[in-house]
Amino acid sequence: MKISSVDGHKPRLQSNGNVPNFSLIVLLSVAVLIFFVIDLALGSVKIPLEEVISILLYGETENAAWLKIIEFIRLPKGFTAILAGASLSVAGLQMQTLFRNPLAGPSVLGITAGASFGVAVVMLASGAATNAFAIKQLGINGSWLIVIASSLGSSLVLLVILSISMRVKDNIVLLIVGIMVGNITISLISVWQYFSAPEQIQDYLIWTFGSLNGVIQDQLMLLAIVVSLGFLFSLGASKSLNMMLLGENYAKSMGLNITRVRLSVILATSLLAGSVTGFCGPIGFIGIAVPHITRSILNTSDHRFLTPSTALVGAILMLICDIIAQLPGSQVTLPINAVTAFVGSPVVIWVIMKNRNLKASFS
Amino acid sequence: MNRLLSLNDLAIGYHPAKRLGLLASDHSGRWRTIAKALTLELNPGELVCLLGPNGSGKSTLMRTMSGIQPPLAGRIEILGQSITKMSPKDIALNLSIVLTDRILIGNLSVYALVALGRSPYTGWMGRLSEEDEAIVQEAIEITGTTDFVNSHISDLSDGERQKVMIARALAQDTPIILLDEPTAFLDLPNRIEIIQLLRKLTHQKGKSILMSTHELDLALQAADKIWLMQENRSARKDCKSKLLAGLPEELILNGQFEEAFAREGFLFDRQTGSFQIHHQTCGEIGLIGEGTLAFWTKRALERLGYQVLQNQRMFPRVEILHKSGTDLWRYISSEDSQPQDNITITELIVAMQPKR
Repeated sequence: MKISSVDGHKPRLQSNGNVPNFSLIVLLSVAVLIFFVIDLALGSVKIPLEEVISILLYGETENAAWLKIIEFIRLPKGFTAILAGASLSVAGLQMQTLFRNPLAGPSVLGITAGASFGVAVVMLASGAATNAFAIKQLGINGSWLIVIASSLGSSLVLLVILSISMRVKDNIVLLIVGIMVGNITISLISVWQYFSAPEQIQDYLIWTFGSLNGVIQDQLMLLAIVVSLGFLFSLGASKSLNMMLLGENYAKSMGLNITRVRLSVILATSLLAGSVTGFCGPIGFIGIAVPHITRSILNTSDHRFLTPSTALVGAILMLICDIIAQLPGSQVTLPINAVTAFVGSPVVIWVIMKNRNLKASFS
Repeated sequence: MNRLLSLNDLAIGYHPAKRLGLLASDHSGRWRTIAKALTLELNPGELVCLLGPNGSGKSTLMRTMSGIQPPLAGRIEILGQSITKMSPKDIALNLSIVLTDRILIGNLSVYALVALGRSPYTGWMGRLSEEDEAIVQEAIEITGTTDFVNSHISDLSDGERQKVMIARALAQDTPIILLDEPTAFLDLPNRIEIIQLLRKLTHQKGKSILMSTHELDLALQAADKIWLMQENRSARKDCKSKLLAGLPEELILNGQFEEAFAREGFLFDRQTGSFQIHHQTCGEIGLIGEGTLAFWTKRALERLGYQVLQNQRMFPRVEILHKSGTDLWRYISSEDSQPQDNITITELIVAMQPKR
């Protein structure tokens, strides 16, 4: 949207201050870069910032071990953090607008539960010989297995929800159905766990703690492709989601095909959340919180700006969480899932208390 | 034919199997069919007011006409084409709506909301062209929402928000506009302003507007045609409501209007075209006087519960005195009692209070 040419007599009508939005996106991108470099520098081995930059730009450093650490451990992990943060946040934004509910996120509608179900089936049913980490060691094929399992799991749940959504006119009813289907899925996992060997359960439990470390270079490529695809779908749905802000009736009256929007949003969300959940485990909180933080910062509901900004804010928050999870200077690494909630929740409370606009965000 | 929108043997209501998502409008579950055999039309340059008591199905009719809700039977045609065969976008280019849904989104500016009205015309990213911007600007100016164009929609009063929603419909720039109770939250000057605006749009721009309202007197003054929904009192109760269409004067004079709103406790005054709150009468009273003073004195006496007989020299009676430019009243309760002279209207009302 551009600012209309205004003649001298008419009052200046400006469409929601676009210019600051654009510069904010640039600013956020720079912030992502800064936190990315910091994330690379910190960890159990502290690498000086100049050295990190030198490795990134020229691929040379005085310490060969640092090169290896950056190249094989921290770079993939940093990229994974960016991808995971961005895609979970965008998935959450889409769910919140589609359901016009501030508490919606990728975990509702059973998307995360479905992915967990798929992973649980692979891990718990494959027997002790091929436990989760053995599967991951198989490289691209192994990662395919986990990703396919988690995507299939989330698709299966979504298929159930979609078929119900064809009959249900009301999105709130659909939301409740989604939560219930998610609960059923989780209970199935519980039953499965109950009858499984302890070692298998342990692998699965470790997966549920979430980890950004498991993604190696080849797999990263795959994750990036799937996430980009989901992100493109999300960007394409921006106009439709803006229309959905006025509710389904108005959106329909402006020519929106509700069923198609639902389908594309659910597809995008399952690509984004399903793949990330497959690789990194079910990472909570980011999907619900980041859209709220972004809306407060940007002061807009326009998804054309909100979608990319949410992705950037999600990436930043995930990088910060990863930095904290490393507990710089120590040998210990905390599970990322614990950190996201522990760090992020106070941020959300602060943002909402400061702006008092969570309640006003939806009817 | 210049028929813009026509209903052919239309039946509206709720399909029982599809009720799941639509429970809010059909709690009783008694009436599946709200109205049937509706054959009506909207023509260019016509402002039609849809009147009827609460729950008679006005919103259902509007939702059905706009394609939000499927009809139970019959056809809705825009320029001779059935809307069930039109894409949502084609419908959106011809018909816009203002609903009673409350829009309470934070972080959405008035300008951005009105600009959403251009959605059927814009590309996949919703970028506004110069022309789109001009139309949005015009819609904002014409509805008098310029002052809060940069405010957030959640910061507006109900009345302001309603005007913004009308601006959005205007930005959609369609030949047909349906408005569900557009004047509901507005004060009287704003109500009149909106109705004047709608009249201007119909008569100058040739738009075809259907609005539902509870403002009977305004509707009777402004509407070119009235669609009147009323309870179906016929012996065969196969649907909840029936709909009568006609000129406002026609419906008043043939008594349909009274029948639709008939209820214990008030009367429809055919003389003035308005409803009167009907009190138990305290008896008859005469009133001598003319003009505005007589009118408002009559109002006051009727409010107290008297049946006023104008220009009857009977007892008790009230006379309006014009003395040296001030308005004064005289009250004579019976033939042999002392008249109360030169009293103000306040004193008159105190004196006339019925004894309980």
